[in-house]
Amino acid sequence: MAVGRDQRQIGHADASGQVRIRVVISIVAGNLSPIRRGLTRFGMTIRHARQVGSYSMLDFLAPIWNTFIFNPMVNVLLFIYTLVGNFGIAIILFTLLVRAITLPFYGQQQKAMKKQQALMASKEWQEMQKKYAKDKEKLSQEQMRLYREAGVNPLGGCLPALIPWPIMIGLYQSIIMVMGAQPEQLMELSKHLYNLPPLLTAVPVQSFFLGLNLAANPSGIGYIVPVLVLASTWVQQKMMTMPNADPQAAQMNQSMQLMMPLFIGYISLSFPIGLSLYWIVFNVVGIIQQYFVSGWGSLATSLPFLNMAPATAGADKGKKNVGKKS
Amino acid sequence: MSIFHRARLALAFVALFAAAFVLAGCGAAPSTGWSGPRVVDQVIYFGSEVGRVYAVNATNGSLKWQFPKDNPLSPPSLYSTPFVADNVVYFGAFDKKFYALDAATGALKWVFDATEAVVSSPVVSDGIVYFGGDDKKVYALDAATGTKKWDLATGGQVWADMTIDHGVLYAASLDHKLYALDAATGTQKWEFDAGGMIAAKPAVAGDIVYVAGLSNVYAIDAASGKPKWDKPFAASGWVWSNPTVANGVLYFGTLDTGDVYALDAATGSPKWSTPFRAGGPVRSAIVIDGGTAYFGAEDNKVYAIDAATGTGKWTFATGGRIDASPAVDGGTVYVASFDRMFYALNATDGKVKWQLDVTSGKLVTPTPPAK
Repeated sequence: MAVGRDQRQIGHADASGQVRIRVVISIVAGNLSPIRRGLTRFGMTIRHARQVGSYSMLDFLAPIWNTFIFNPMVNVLLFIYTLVGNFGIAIILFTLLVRAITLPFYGQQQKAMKKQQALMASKEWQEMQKKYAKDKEKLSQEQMRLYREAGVNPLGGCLPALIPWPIMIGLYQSIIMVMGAQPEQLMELSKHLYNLPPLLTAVPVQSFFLGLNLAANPSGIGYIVPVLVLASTWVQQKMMTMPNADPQAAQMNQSMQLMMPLFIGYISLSFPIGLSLYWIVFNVVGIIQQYFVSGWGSLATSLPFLNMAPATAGADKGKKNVGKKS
Repeated sequence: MSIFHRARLALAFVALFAAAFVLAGCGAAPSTGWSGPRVVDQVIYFGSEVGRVYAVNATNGSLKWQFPKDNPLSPPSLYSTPFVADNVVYFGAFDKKFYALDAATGALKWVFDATEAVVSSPVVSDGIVYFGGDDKKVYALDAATGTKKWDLATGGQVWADMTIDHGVLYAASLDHKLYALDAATGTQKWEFDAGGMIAAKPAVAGDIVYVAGLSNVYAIDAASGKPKWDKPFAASGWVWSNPTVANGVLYFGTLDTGDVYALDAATGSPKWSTPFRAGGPVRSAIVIDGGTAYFGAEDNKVYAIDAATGTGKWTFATGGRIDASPAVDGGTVYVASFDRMFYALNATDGKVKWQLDVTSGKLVTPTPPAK
């Protein structure tokens, strides 16, 4: 009896939207205990909340999201597929296209990071760290002064890094939906396709690429795909992080560099191979881009043979910018 | 380490959590399935998204058996509506297997490895069970042993339910084609290209086969495979709802718009002045019984409308979307909803007769309809 009534209440909560938005915020913040308490009240589990939460976010932004980001992406992806006739190649071209569009944002982010890292590696910064090691307040003031003088905004790299996120989420969702690994996903596609005969007749897509079923989870030889995802994410992470003299910061960097690839690699085990293909292409482009900005970065420490390669052009360029106002 | 460095790392961790949330929430769409009920000799057989098939007493909702008894199927999604013949229950599952169970006890008789997931509902005729798979094949198995008699490769996944009539098996594929096959041998008689993927079951009435490719509905001559109407009927959305023919009228629903149509089965002209519009997409078949059309929709509601005029009679709100087709038997409408409840409703007024919680397998007190 209780179960039935509680489920009806979930419907009411959904209608108001308030409860669901709170659930989303709390989950994103990583704090699950208030959610558990709230869910128990509604007779729900965390799994239910995850579903409800994701839909509530989409409900809230659905018209804007669908019209300006998601629907164009789904249709462009299918259009590319109609041109090339292979969904694997379509994913690769689509990912390249989206990365090209978001390139300016990444460029800005990487330049800002580079400038900051160069500043932190400077002699003046190191001396200041030692001098005010016991006076945290003074240390912060001095750090701010140095940032100002060098024309570096310490959080400047964050905003450009966040802007491409919605686009990447749209790209990811488009691939999932067009692939239609589950019938509901293909059914949902009917709401997002433009009424253009070539696109309509293109579904469902033929999902085999290099002998792998892009719509299926990894199995057999397909396990190489999550390994490539893990490896490419690790390489990119390593390249993005410059050596840090602060042992605490270096340790945190190191744990991040390990956590992220393991996390993405683990996730890719339970997702269709088509998505992993997207991650690999996404990472490879990121690696190439990063190479031209900062060279091999911390990767050269882990893989010493890379020092043989002339890859410091980007790093040198970054150092020259230190001390100049931008 | 500077406070800014800490802030950046904190942001990175927040981004990681956000990514985890987005990947988990948006990535793997929750499996639902649309296995509907089949009523045979006062017993209802249906599959549920919890990964089990149930046999329930149609009169009072008491559970006769469930399969599997212990751990549910993995993955749990069930799209295939069970077919019952000679005291055996047949269904396919998303776990890439096709099952045959003893209808009285739920004991496993045999299982067939279908290579890929099975979405289509089977049909049994003359000792052969037919179904389609995600491996793009149509299968014919010996109904008693599960031994393969023949298979036919199509160009797409076979999600549409199978139809058999006068020794001809009509199997539709996502490769846009409807195949007419000799049921005994699998030899192809003809094929028809519907211009778009076919996900709904072909319906046969007299010498006409009705099939929907995307949003176009065709009437095909059963003997020749040629279109009977001058042009297909263009519906307002994709037709994934199994078309039903009753009293010379063809009924079906649409995705996206949620329109339900009634067409003259002979000419394809609309019978109602305007289609009936439900509050959400209609994947469920339109089941006709005693002059009333019953169906479920993604707005969580069960609808009963006048089959002759298309005017609403009653609705019943459940707590979840309804993609499965209902079954009507002896004045009761049986409906599986994604709120993990199975409902028995009075066909006259939509009042709950009994309600089964499929997670616990126990009857629950009916809740008042949501406003």
